[in-house]
Amino acid sequence: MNQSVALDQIASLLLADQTQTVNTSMRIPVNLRNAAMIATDELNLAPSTTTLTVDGLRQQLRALLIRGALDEHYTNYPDSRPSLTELAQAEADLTNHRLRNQPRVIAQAAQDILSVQQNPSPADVLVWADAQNFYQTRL
Amino acid sequence: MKDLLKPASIIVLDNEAIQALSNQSHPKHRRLLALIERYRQHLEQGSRASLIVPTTVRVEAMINRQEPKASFVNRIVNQDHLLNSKYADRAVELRNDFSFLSVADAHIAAIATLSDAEVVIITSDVKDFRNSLSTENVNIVHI
Repeated sequence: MNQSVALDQIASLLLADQTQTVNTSMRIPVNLRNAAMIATDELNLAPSTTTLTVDGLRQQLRALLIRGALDEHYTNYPDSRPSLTELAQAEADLTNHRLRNQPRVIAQAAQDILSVQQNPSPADVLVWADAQNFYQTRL
Repeated sequence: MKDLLKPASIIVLDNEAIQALSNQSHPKHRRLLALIERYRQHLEQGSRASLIVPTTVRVEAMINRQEPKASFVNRIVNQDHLLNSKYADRAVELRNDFSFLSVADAHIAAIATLSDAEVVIITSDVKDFRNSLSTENVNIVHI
């Protein structure tokens, strides 16, 4: 099975009916299971350890699926890869960051941070932009 | 403290957003990919946020998951939101109050008003959603 077919099959299975269940024996570390039991039984962080496990597995599979899809997409369409500025703006929008409506500040920070840091993350850009903005308003 | 997408946020795509995602020549394609990249990063960091497309939006945008050309969208937006009776009734109420809402936009607004979680609406119709929704648990992201 090539990667593209595998990604489509994962997508299809995740989209399909999730009500049918199956018993499976999975070996997991005892201490991990005990930690999960405390989280569910004592802290009510999830209805059960099964729910915790299934939800975690589903979210991680979705993240892997998106990563695989984007990697293949950028190979086919290299110009579609977002810039650091675009990623930082997207981060600001999704997290309702206080600088989300100041795209010029974010764009400038995305440019400036490269002079002091290699491979900064979009979140790094926002911290940099925040700091610059803070000092500029104080001067 | 680092800003985070709230753990159980629901990210909803509107008609233009899903079209921009599905079509690599759409002028807002890169903007959508940037948002998806950040969503993916939050998922990898343990967020339980979900990315959904309402079924009515898919109808409006002509996105049929069974067609081969929907493959990319199926991989990225891996969850539909169905218009059941409860959401249909709420959408009707919203259309009564705000006649400018389309059926698909009323479905999105119903999700926002019936959800306890933070709802992030990715849309080109910021004005319509601002005029019809309280912004308490809603983050409207313009594309």
